[in-house]
Amino acid sequence: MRFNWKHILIIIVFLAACREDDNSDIITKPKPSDTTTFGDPTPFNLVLPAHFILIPPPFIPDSNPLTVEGIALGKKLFFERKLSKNNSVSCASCHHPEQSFNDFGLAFSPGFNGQPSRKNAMPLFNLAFNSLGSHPNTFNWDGVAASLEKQALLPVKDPIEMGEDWRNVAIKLSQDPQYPMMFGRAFGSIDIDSTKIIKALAQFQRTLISGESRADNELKSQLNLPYTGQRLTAQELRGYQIYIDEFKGDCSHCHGLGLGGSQANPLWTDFGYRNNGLDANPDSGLAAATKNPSDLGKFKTPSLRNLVFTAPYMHDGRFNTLEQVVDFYIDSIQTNSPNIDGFMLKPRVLNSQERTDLVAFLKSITDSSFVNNPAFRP
Amino acid sequence: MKNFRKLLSLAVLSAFIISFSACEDDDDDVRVETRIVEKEVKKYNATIKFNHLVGSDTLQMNTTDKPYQNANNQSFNVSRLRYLISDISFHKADGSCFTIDGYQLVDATQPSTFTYAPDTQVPEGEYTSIRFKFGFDRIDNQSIYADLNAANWGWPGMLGGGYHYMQLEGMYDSSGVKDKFFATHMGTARNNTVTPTTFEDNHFVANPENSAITIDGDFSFEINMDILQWYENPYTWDFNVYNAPIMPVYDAQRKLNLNGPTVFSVSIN
Repeated sequence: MRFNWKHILIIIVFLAACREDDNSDIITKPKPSDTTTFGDPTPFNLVLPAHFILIPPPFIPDSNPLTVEGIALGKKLFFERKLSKNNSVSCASCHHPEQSFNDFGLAFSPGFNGQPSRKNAMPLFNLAFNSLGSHPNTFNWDGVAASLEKQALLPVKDPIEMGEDWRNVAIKLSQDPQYPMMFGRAFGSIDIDSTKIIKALAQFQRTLISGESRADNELKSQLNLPYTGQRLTAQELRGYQIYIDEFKGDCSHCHGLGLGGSQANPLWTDFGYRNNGLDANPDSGLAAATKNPSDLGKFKTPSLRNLVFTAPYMHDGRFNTLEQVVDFYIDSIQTNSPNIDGFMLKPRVLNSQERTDLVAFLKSITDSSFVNNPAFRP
Repeated sequence: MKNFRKLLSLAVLSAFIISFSACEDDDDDVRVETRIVEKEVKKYNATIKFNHLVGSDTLQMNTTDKPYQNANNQSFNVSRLRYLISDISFHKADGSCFTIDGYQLVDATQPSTFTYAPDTQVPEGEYTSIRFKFGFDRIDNQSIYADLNAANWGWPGMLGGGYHYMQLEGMYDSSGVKDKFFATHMGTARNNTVTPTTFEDNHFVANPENSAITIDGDFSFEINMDILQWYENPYTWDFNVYNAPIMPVYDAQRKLNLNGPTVFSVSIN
């Protein structure tokens, strides 16, 4: 017989129940799935930066409330290499906390056997607000994941990324000395399955709130909220004026008025899907999820937070620097690309100083406290 | 002009008090409220549906051709239409009115936004007209609306801030010009031809004809936007002059305000 922690734990549960229940009818044995030894998990309240009052509250599904135990389990699973076929990679292998949960400068992160993945890894933060926008609660560049929970189903079974079978993952975790009890504390039973795993992962990811940067300080100052640290430099403020100027950068129609006072959007995206004119013959994009030809070439509009950590840029990581990104939007948009967003078709004229100022501003939305947060480390 | 509110209160006689305001002056700068006391006033739910027309045709979004023609003989299509309606009000012959304090951001690509069911109920009665604001008045335009912020609906601070009233976009052809982009965005009008620069509240009150309604139960009506009317009457719009960007262009903003009142009609169900 194979060594199985689950069986041992069931015996422990049984013995414990007998000890506590000496006078009970000896015929009523606890069932193997008995959950009475686990109390309710502790509810966890997400603490948000004060200026996030400007946007709707985060979306926490009724079916997966945040709990201290669920988040702790999710964090352990996020760094767990057993989720991959040969126990070589974890979620964190492509989503490093010190990189704003992005990879170290790779366009295509290697999967469990070293093969490059097909899309640029996305950074992970403020995902709990992704219930907004035209396609709410859809994830990945192309929107193929229909919830944050379901998103985690994809990389594990992806033949390049983690290449593993979910049943194997559950078996491996069941044999671990810690996981069965952690699942019990988080979800009331020591049984491990993919549904609980993706719930725990989603809980942890919903705690990844990024809202502290010098640009955030600037917005807090506009709102008369207290802040610590510096605000923006004169150059960065010039860059923001270029960012919002419809004659110049006109970035804010997609990325929002991050410093717009009472009307600001501190998420720096509306989570919409757009074709930004990278290619005359674009990748399928959102059409992969919707099967709608009018969604061809549309990709999720990423937040502009923490860009210093998330190079290279775009869904295929084609631009190594923010300077290249800015140059693209001014000089190289493929205006004949199908379904191109109208905002891409306005002429943008920026001289080299203005481009430099704009990049300086973009780099100011950098949240060092987020990438250094010990709560997000293993 | 300073904001002030003059309350002319009558005696309180009953538990049921409905607040009506005299609405001939729809500018939020002046609001004269009259409290009329009624007994057992019943209130009913409103459901408002939004329709989008081009002349008499239903708007088709994202057509590959350019099926529509403005008064300037420029053919065009529409790829984006979002707009903001607020403070729908019900007016009586005696000059009083009841206002639903609320707003709806309509997105022509999101049919769920075509129906607006406000929480506020409307008192029974005979009303001679239904009116509403296109965009926000000055006070609402300075308030925090989290859903609008998240929808990137803000209007840049350098142009006076507040919110967009409308984003209407597409491609047009004109004589000698093909496949040019237009973005008819409307909001606060910045006038930088004067010193110091002024920022003019650019919302208007739509007062469509034939909108009399008798409310004696839950009711519904439809607000119809004829896109062609943004581009004519009184000002005949030329896409070659005002294509994109026009948010910082004062004349374009004011002309949209002038063309706006004939854009809307109301159908009582």
